[in-house]
Amino acid sequence: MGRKKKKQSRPWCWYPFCFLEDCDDNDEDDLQRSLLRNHISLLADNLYSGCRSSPPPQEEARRTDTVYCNREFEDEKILIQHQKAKHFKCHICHKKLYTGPGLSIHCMQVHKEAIDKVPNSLPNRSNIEIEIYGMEGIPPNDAKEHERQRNGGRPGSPSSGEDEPVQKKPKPEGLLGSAPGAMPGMATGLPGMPPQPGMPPLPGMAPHPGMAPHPGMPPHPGMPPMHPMMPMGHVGPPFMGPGMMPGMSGMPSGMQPPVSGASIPPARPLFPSAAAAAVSTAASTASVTGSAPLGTDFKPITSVASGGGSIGPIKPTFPAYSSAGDSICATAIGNSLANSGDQKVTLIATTGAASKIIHPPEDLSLEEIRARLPKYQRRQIDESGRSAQSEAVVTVSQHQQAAALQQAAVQQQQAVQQQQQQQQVQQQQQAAANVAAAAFQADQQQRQQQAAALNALQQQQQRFPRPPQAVMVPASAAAMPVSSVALMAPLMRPTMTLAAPALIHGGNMMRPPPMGLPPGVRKIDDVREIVYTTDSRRQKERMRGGKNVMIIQIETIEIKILDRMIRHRISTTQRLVVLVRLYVLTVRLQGARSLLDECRMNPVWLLKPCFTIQALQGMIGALPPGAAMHPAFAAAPMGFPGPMLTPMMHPRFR
Amino acid sequence: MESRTEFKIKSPPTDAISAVEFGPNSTQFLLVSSWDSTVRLYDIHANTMRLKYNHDLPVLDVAFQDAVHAYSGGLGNTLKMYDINSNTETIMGTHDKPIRKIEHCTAVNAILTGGWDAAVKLWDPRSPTCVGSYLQPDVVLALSVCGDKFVVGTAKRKVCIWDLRNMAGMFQRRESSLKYQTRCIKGFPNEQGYVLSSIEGRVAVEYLDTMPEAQKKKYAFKCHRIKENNVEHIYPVNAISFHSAYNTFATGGSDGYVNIWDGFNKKRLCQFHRYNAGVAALSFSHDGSVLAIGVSYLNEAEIPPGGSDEREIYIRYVNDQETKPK
Repeated sequence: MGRKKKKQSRPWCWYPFCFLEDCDDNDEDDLQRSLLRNHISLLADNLYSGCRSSPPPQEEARRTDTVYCNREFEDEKILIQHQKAKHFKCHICHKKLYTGPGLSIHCMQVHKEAIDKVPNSLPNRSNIEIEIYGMEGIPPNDAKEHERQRNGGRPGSPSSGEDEPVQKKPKPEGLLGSAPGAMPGMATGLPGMPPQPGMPPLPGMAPHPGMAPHPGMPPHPGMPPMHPMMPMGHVGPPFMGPGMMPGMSGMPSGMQPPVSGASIPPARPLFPSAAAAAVSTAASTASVTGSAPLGTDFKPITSVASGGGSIGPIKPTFPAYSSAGDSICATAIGNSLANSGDQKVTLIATTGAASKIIHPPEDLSLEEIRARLPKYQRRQIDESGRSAQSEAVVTVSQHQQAAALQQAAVQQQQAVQQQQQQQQVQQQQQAAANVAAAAFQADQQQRQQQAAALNALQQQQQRFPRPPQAVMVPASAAAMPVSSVALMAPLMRPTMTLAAPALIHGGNMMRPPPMGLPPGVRKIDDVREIVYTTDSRRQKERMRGGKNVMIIQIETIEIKILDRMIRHRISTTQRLVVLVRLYVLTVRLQGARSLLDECRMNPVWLLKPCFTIQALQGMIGALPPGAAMHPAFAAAPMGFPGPMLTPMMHPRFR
Repeated sequence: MESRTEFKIKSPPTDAISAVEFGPNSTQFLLVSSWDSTVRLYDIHANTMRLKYNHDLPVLDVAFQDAVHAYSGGLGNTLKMYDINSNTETIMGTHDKPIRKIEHCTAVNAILTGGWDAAVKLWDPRSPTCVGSYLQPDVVLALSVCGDKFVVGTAKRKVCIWDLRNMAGMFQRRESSLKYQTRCIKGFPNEQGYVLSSIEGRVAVEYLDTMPEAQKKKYAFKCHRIKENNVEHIYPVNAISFHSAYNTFATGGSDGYVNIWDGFNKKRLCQFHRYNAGVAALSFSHDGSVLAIGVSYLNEAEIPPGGSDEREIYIRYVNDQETKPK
């Protein structure tokens, strides 16, 4: 054990500044400390700014040595003791841990507190995630640097008197003086620890310095805050550490998760509402039986509740409502009463004697249960009293009296429920028959809507016979297969003000200068907004408003494509062309993304002669060139954000 | 328990917290909806309340559309849009019954609401109109957007997946793989799947892909349970929030704990200290550096743990150790 240590491998503490905390014996320290503090940032910069090879000026180097000589110790055992006591001690329970990560895990698991830096360390060497144990795990660059400074700052001849005390200040160092080969007598006293600094790495410790390119690499390669000063070469960006989440790395950031069925439309009936009806018979039954005779004052509410009741083990979806619908407001008045009297509520299955689910027994969400509390009912009752007939109020007030006689109320309620159940049985039978009818009706409605939409388009076409744009509208509309109107449920954005950039970005924003306008158009302001719509009703509104509006029927996929195109910075012109093409080619049912990709990869695709060149040029000319370059576009982060960012300028607010 | 990594928000709502949500691109602003019928916007850097607006009845959910537009709805059945810049509110429309969930889908820039009227409605942010209403099998209890799709969890353990690109019919229809009532659903930021929690201290990790090899990866695990006197108390898992970069997620339960999980490696990354009441709402900031924790008693137990009036919002700065897969 008493082997002599080599001079250069005297153990030192990588966590600098440690001794400022405990070097209290000789006190020119105050001065020294303030001096040091003044230099800390500077020194730190010098040390770690990457220009490490250029040594700092002599004086600073000496200070560096002082500060960052990083306190040398007799042997590694003492160093480890020091580290445990000064750097790896839990500030809460004072338990001494062995490494930074160990400390942080301890704090996290035992105290549920995150610790973000090593205690008593300089900010640039405080990374808690670096695993340093004694001399193990010190980054080799730092080791070299230390060595360099040690040799450089202490060249054997005392260069000046002033840094002598500084160098000697650390206690153990003081014992040894500058005699490098001195035998540390006390070192052998501690058993169990090999004093050799080059000792083999402990199991589970970081690799030996100098072996791996990332010695002392903690398990997390990211370490964002410490990044600049970490002496390791390449580190992945913190958010995408190497090897992290291998399953997901291949994911494109964007739109389509690799779901096999994603782009395949599910098999479904032709008409959306019919589809909905068919898909969820339960729900549609509820809607079909919407004319349940109970609770006339609360039609929409009771309809669902009673419809649901006819189907199976009902739970009133909103008991306060449903009981109100039963013309019994007991729940609103006394919750417990309602609960005990309510037979229909399904209960949460209990799990056994050894465990208990902390949840009210009813199988309702906590919110639904909480919403029944009287304090949340107040205004509801008021409103219903006001909005519904006075009868409701009467019922309520009667009930408040009845609440005194709870027995009576329970009986009454039960009686009503029985009645209700009987009726529901009948309804249920009816309901089955009605489902088919509903599907048919829905079908009919769709046809009507669709006819209305076409009508609107035609009307509008008559009303606004215009140069190229107006010509386009009917053309595109005509190219649209009739069934597609019904196939695509109107999704969103019934109106999209798209083409005229002024409208996209809000009315008053800076506009690109009007250039290349077609002969029919006088100035940009005159370019009427082009409205893409899925909804014929809104078309009519627009037209009644008498604006110069060009309306293009648009559907889900087109909307998506538009969004994507905007996101991909495809110019307005191109967007329009794509849209036009879409109509003409009637490829709506393909996936939006693939279409878009095709458009982008193969522009020829866009140029198939379907419209006359003149018409296209008219379209293009009507759009100010360079619209895509508009700052609002460039800044826009995602699909179709223009008007959203400046809502007050949106037509809706004007 | 205050420390430098965690603090309470000053002037919290006066009733239970129903939802918290960070703004889409800053860690500064936090929306909080509450049973006291208010929606509040907090500046967590300054720890002040920036503004507050009222509904008639308790608010159950709130969502940012962008940095300056908030959507909220609740027992009043009404969906409100609030313009934070101009302090104006717009009524978008109504459900037939209370609105339980509000989500903003960035893919199509639309607002989704799910209500107890068993409907999911789609709203156009730019015109106060509902552009689509989609019937669900039952009362909507949970709703989350997952890329182009959104996942609806309803009563009776139904799970419906819809594809925003094709809303003519349901994309997938499933039954919850958990045996108890669905409490919360959140889609993975990488859009591969979703996480579903139930009232019975359990969380399922599910994948959208229906291929067998993808479905093989799905699993569920127990959590938010406390053993006291040899009786295991099982708590609802009220809230889930994803770390957008790491795809790890935090769960909050009525037991008052927040756990952070690495769903792909099936590991718990950490557990925070116990809060004074159940964790009702969670929200990671967009960069995952901050976690907002809404703590409230939700009447889940007969006897409220440690005072029923606990309603606090904690802001916790999380680090990679707590959130990054190991």
